[in-house]
Amino acid sequence: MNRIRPYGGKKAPPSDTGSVEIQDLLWNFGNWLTREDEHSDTIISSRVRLARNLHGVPFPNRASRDQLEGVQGNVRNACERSETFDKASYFEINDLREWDCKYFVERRLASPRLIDNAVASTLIIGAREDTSVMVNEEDHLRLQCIEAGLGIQDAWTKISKVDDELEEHLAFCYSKNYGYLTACPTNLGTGMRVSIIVHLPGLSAVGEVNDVIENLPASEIAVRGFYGEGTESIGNVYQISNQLTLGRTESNVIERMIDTASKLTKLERTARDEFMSKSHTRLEDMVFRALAILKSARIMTSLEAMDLLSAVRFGRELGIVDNISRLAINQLMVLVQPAHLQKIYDRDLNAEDRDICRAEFIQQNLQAL
Amino acid sequence: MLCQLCQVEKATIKVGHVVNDKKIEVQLCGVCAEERGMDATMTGLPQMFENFITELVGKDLLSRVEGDSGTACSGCGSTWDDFQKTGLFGCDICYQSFHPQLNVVLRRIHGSNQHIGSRPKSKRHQISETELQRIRMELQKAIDNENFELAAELRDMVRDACQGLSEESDGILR
Repeated sequence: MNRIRPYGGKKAPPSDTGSVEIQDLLWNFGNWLTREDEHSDTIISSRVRLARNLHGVPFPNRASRDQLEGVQGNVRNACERSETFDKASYFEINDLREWDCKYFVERRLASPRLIDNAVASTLIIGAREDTSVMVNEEDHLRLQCIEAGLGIQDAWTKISKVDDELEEHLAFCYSKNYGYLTACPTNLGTGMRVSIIVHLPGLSAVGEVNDVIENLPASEIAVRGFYGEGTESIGNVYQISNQLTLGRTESNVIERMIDTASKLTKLERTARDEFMSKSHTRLEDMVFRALAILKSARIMTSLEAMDLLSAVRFGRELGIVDNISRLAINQLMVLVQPAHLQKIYDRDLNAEDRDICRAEFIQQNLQAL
Repeated sequence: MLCQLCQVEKATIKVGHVVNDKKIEVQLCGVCAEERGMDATMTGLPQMFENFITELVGKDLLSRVEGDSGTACSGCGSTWDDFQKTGLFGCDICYQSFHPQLNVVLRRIHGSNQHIGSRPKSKRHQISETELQRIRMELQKAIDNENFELAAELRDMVRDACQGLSEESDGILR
């Protein structure tokens, strides 16, 4: 099985909320869910995010609604005149339904903060959802680009271009000493945060994942769970990002993150091989058991789905199963999240309905195996 | 690694907590941890994270740099107290208003208080004072040699550079 098929639900009727566009986005995966590179066995995606503020306007935590609406208008104008956002989709957060907001968070296009503190907040998504802009989050602008695998350099090239394009029409707060000025000084300087999403089932299986994470220099590298700050790891998926933004060039940070990612990949591959050679039957048991449950269960929580899909991905990487693609598993890991299911079935589901739909959706997609 | 509070003893305990959506980790020696009511089981952890910046920088160090915590930023009215509670500045002027305290905070967070990364596109062609002096000398030479085409080019470069430098005189680009 190489492709996830749309299943269930029908197209939403046209509305002012942009829900048709959201429904279209659902199956129109961006680069990070449709491409692979030589690191994709371990590294699912790479993101580069830049924090920027407009000169002369208080930061969102101190600005009035009028001022934030002014920022909103100016950023939209700048985006409409830029090459990258020529065919962009614009979503006013306050006009969106709750599930639409959660859907964007699950898709890594919006942060929980953009949704929770939404005052004159907009999400701007470029074609193929690789580049996007959050307006009036913690800073006036958060520009981001997500690429597949260890595509940090590509993501940086693209987002740097967006930065230049927008600066043609917007004056960013910048000081010679402190660089780009941000609401929180932890982002000051380059305003750049590089994050990679890594899958570490091998290190987890041999019991080394915590040691490896604790040995990363905490002052430079932050490790977070599946949904970012303040969350736990689900399905052995971790988010790793740089901590320092001042006193380093963008190239320094990118090199450091690529180096960290490469070391993690090497450790994870060694752990996978070790587990495979020492505990082959246990590995097979874990993978086939996971597949059996995924194919047969009638009720499934997202947590259970993530753990089982993680085991199948682990088995796929070690050749235990070969008729399911890595991309299909990556896509399923996103599609089984609550808001995605809500959009797929396009009707109000309570938690139990969702668990039933999730089991059904996974089965439909795995039945070819 | 040395303890982030006393900077003398070797850090033996790492504590982490999420405050204001930021994951904060502090590495402490046994003595500093005990002084703050924490044993190896981290039972006293919450008291340590009562506000954002104290956690990030450390209370001992912060008490030496606090200064007048009630002074308001001329741009947005935020005070240093506000910043300590929320971890957020209110506007770009805050970076000038709280400059003395800030340098210590930045050194603790980033190990540096000087930006060396990229600059906005419009400022990328700025040149240093030394370079400006060199161009001025070349300009004079071009005028002396009646090479007016080159002189005009150099004059424009000096004009553009001077504009850039005056814009940065207060540290904030206008």
